[in-house]
Order: sequence, then structure tokens, then C-alpha cells
Amino acid sequence: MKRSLLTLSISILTLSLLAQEKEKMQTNDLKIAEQLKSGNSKDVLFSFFQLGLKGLTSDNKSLTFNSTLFALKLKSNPKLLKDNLLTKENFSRNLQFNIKLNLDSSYKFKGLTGGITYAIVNQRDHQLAVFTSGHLQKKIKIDSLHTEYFQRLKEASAKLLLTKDIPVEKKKEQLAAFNYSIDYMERTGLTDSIPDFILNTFEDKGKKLALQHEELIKMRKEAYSMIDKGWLWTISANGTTDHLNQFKSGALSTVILKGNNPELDIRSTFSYVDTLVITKISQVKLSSAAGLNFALLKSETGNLIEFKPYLAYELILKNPIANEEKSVFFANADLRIRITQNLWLPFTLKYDLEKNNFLGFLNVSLNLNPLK
Amino acid sequence: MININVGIYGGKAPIPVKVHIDNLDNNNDLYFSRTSSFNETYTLPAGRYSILVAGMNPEDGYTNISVSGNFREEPLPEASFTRKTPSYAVFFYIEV
Repeated sequence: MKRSLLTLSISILTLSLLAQEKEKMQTNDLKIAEQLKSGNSKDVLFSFFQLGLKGLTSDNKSLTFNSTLFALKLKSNPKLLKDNLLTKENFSRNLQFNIKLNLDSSYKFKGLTGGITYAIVNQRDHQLAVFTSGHLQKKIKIDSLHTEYFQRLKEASAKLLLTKDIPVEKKKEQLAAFNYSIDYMERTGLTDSIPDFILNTFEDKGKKLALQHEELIKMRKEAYSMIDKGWLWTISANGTTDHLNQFKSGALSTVILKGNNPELDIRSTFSYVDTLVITKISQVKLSSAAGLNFALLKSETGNLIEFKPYLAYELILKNPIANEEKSVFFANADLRIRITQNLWLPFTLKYDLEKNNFLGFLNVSLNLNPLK
Repeated sequence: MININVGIYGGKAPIPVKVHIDNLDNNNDLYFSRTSSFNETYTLPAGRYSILVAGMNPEDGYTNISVSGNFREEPLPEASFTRKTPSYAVFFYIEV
């Protein structure tokens, strides 16, 4: 009796150590789906918090902090994470705000920018994703596979309890080992090192169960990837002050994203700027851009390099400065390189089609998720 | 009388949570599925039961599963579990 309990305990301990090791080696699937989102879309609407350092190589540098209203509410009320409360928080989850500290080339304070962004249409919301409804249900048969997986587990668990009159302590150890083995397989995708008495409850020693689990995870990734092809339409408003905290500029913007590799990206900004040359001039400008974002290099954990060529048009509607072109066409390109899981280095290359000039700007953006 | 409490955190459950209450002494089993968190009570005749709960977590989310009530034998191996894996399954044994 003591010997069998000892064997069970050693099995559980071995499984525990192996699972920890496997977890270190394998990327957690929970994180993968979020990482599969393009860096471009994360810049438009992020998950929780985003820190950014923009214009590293230009005269206009800025330090930005973005957050959603929901992320702040969550800090004071963690219960909002529960599904029935979270689903009522659509407004706060789609409303983000940003604070930007503007700096000059020698990192001196030049002013402050504050703004809000609201996602009018957000079909890319992973938190509200349900695979058993809408177009996903037709394309991904994940629930029927999960029913088969459940059935297999049900049969195996019933076999484990076939023998009556097992002492409570032994039964407890056996059930703990069963639960731990399933959890180990769920975490690592493997059935090795699972004790034989558990594997023997499955007719094929759990091989089919592991295959079904692998397929379930594959379908889950596929479903999230399909969600990321949906529409995202945001509108935003922001205002900037100068170094004396006087209103300097304001802008209304809209961004539309659709698809995934390539991702259609259309954006437009209507801005008002107080420009000081000899006298104060209030300039009104419309900037629009349209392009496609491509994932040039991908890995299991998401995009590593993204490239977005786009055409940009700037039209000065009121008060062009002397010698300033009233309208300019640019052929631009953004190159984003992922340094770590959440750290992106976006580099913007601007080409003035009329003056044949190249300009380059280096930015940094870091996406933070409090759940990780 | 037993109570099954399943709390889903971090978003909606991508697929319904499946529950099977298996009466080990006869075929009076109970099977149901729920699309969101639930806290429900069931009146079960005296006997030995196994309870299997399985589902999928929302992205970056987790699920708390617990069984409570009046038992002849307390839930084995534990009365509650937290699962953070993309898909999960937990198994309880009770005697009512």
C-alpha cells in the first residue's frame, strides 16, 4: 500500500517537474494568439497598455503612454475580468486614451499631447470571440471535435473508478494523478511520462487524445487568425500644447484596417496647427494615406518583420507658409521589426515624389498586457 | 444537493463548457453545457458520482471550477481547480 502511494507520488512529482521544464521550452499558446496580431494593428488599437518612444532620429521626439478605460477600471475592480461583467464593458474596452510628452532634439520639453480613440467597429476583439457562432462556426468545427475529446476523457475517467472499495487515500492519489496528467498534456501537448495506469484507461494509451488536443489548439489559432482579418475602424481626437502649455494644435483622425497579410490600411487626419514663423499662423491641413501591410517574416509566435508601403497625400487647406507646397504626395513605407514578444521598432521611410527627397524616422513601441 | 461553480475570466468562453455528472452505480447520468460562467445547484440521489468539466479558456484568460454541497465523501482529489491552459478538463469524485 505504502509502496503504491510512493510510486504515485513520485509519478506526480516527475510529471510536475517535466511540465515545468516543457513550459520553459515551449511558448505558451495563450500568448500566441495575441502575438499573431500585426504590429500595425496594435498601433491602431492595443490590448491594454502601450508605451512608445517616437521619432528617435528626428527633431520631434515623443514619449507616449496609451491605455484603455477598461484597463484602468480593472485596476480598481479586478472582478470586471469575469465574463458576465466583461461583456458589459464594451464601451470602456474600446475607448483608449493617450498622453504624449513632446521633446525636441536635445530631449527638452516641447509640450503635451492628449487624446482619445474609440473603436466604432471592432471585429478583432479576441476577448469576445465565440467559435460556435457566426461565420467561424461554419468554417471551424471546433466544438464537435471538443465533444469527441470530452467523450474520450469521460470514458477514461469512468474506467479509473470501475474498481470499488479502493481506500480513500489511494483514490485521491489516483484522481490527482489523472487530473495532473490531463493538465500536463494540455500544457505540453505530450503524453510521455504519464503513468501507465492513467494511459491504460485510454484504449490507445492516449495517442488519439493527444492528437485531438493538438488539432483543437490548431483550430483555436486558426479561429483567432480569422478574427484578425475583420474590420477595425477607429476615430480619434487629440490636442497639443506648447512648452508654455498653450493650445498649439488639434486633430481629428480615422483609421480603417481590414484583412491580414496583406492588411488594408486607410487613414485620414484633419488637423489645425498654430505655426509661429514671423507672426502666428493658424494652418489647417488634411493628411490621408492608404497602403497594405505585409508580414515579411513570420514565426510560430507571430510576425517578426512587417513592411507597409503606402501613398500619402497632404493638402494644406488654409494658410500655407511661404514657399510651402499646398499639396504634397509621398510614397512612404513603414518597416516594423519585432525585438521581443511585445517590443516593436517601427521605422518610417518617406519619399517626397516631387522633390525626390528621402526622410527616415525611427520609433519604438512596447505593448503591455497585465494578464501576462 | 451539490453545487457546481464555473467562473470564466478574461473574456467569453470560445466554446461551451461541457459537464458530465456520471452516476457510477446506474445510468442516471446528467450531461449539459453552458456558454458562460454558471453557479448551479443539483439534487442528486444518494450514490457515487464522477463529475467531468471541460472547456476552453478565453485568450489570456482562466477558469475557476469548484464543487461544493452536502457530501458523504468530500470531493476528490480537490474541491476546486484553476485552469489557465487554452483547453482544460478537470475530474471530481463525490459521494452523496
